[in-house]
Amino acid sequence: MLTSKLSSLQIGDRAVIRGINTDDIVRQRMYSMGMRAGREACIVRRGRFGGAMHVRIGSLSLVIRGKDADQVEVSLIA
Amino acid sequence: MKRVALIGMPNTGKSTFFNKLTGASSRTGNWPGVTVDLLAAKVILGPNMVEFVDLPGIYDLHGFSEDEQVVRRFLENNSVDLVCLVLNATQLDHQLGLAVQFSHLGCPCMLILNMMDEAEQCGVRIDTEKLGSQLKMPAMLVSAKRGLGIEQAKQMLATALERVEPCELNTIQNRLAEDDIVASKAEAILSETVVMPLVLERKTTERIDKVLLHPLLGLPLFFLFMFLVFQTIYTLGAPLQEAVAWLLDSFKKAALDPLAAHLPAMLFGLLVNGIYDGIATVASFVPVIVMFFFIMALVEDSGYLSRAAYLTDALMARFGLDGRGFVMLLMGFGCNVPALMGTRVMRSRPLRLLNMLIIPFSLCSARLQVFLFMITALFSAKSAPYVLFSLYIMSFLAAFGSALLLKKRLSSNEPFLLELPPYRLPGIAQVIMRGWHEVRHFLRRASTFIIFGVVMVWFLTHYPQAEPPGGPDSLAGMLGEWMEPVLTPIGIGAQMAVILVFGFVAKEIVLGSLVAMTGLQGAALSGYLATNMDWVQAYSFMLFVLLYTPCLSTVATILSESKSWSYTVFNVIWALSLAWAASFIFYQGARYFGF
Repeated sequence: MLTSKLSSLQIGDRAVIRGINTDDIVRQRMYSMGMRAGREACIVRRGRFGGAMHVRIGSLSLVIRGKDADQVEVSLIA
Repeated sequence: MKRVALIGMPNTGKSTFFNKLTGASSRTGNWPGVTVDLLAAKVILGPNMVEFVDLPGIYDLHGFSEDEQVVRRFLENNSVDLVCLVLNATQLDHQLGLAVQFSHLGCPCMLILNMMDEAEQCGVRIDTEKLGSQLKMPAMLVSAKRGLGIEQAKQMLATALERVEPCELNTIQNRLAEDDIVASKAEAILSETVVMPLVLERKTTERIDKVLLHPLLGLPLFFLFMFLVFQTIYTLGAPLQEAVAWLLDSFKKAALDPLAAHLPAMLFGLLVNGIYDGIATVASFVPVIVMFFFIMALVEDSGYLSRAAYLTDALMARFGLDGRGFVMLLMGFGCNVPALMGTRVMRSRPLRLLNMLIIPFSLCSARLQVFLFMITALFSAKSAPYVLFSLYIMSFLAAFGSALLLKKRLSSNEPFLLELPPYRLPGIAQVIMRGWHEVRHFLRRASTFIIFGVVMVWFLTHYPQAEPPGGPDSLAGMLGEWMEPVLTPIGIGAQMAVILVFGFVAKEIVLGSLVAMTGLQGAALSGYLATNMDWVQAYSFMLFVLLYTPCLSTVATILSESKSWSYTVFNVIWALSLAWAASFIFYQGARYFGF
């Protein structure tokens, strides 16, 4: 399956999180806040001028900075 | 005595539940990481005296953030009879893992599923019995904010405590299973016991967010709100302050003056013109401060702070900070101390240090009093709100400028990841509690720092020679003369030196000691200020007061949070130098252009 970065998704896209490519500490942080492999994420909105993106994962609403969303591998749900 | 630890993820309502259980008033807000200190309260529950401990919110037991370490250390070092887990019932898909972690530890637990009212609205249905039996801990639904299920929770706690033996938790890390096992188990339990709609019904929150988080309008709206808040505080606060000042003055004229009239002149001067008038002037601002904290509590409870962090993050990233840093600055407008402690949610040390460097520039409510008084005395009613607003702008400029200069030295790779909670209507009881908290806080400061400062300044300005108070022949005058080379270039008179020195202890002293020094208050003091300084000098003075170290409590907090003397000293010197430089540039610049 084709994977892409969470940061490359458009508003309204849905994708399954595949993995997080970063050091353990940051991964742990993301994991504990709900960014886990297998979960489905939906892009709600993106800030202008390099602002953070607003992602919904299950019952959670999260904002994540583009730079950090770069580390999250996802596969798009068609 | 038995001990119960309240544990849960940030912003699940632990503190609200704690307050409802114990009648305490710990600070709450719709923002992760409000609980920064361990708070304990004792209540009688059934046959036992029970101590409840409200711990900071954690995402899991492995975490490396300061909060997570605090919780782990607490569990390792204190015997706990029962862990009371508080989870957000609307987010069990996300939070149940924490309960599974604790059920693996094998210590006696009880599960409180909070926000049952919201869960019902969203269509979340939970089989609490089955959930409890799967996790091997009793579980029940409550709404701490609405007070639903609190009595039943107390009964359940009492029953649970009857059965338990204290647990040994010193092997926490060894006994914790792999995350994968926890996650899959949590999912299995979830699917059997909780029915969650595919899309949570949060229509109201989504509608509000469409406007408030609008890609183009969001940020301007945010600044508009901030401006309106300050405008409100100023327009409502000024008459309120005058009314209280009048009340306190009437009391003095009617009761204090006749009572103290036969005291020796010296003692009368100290007690009435020094201490009473000094404190009365500071106290007259208490309603303004309380109002300020009401508004802050409303904003904190609403959930808008997380949105503010989202909106400002792109901007903050340029300064080596993130959106949370902006929220800390906003919290600092109330009082810098909790804002400094709030940086514990950040786990990267350089990021924390950078944030702790800029928070003291945040115009706190103590400085607000000084500015309100001076602005009213020296500026026209029409321009006054704008002068105040300009000081808030200066406060941001100092913060961001400092961050820009130091971001290279204090850079971090901390991810910016933040939960956006749904908007919530603030609980009125909580907001009132918060206001009462501030009054108590003020009274405590008044009875210690402010009396001390006012008495010291009165003494220094009246000995050995009191004519005029603070004149060249008094101790304060000598101090002023000695400091003149630094003060003259920024347009501050020598008699103000002593006030600035004691303003280091607490900013409330600035106003109180002005009264004690001159023996004037209210309109007379305004008149004195207006004849002794022009607006350029006054603004320069205010800039200095805005930027130099806010108070001893902040220094103590910076030291205890950073655990580094050299950083603390650097922090103080940085603020002092910046204060002087800003006042110098402003004063000399304004004079150069002929003002």
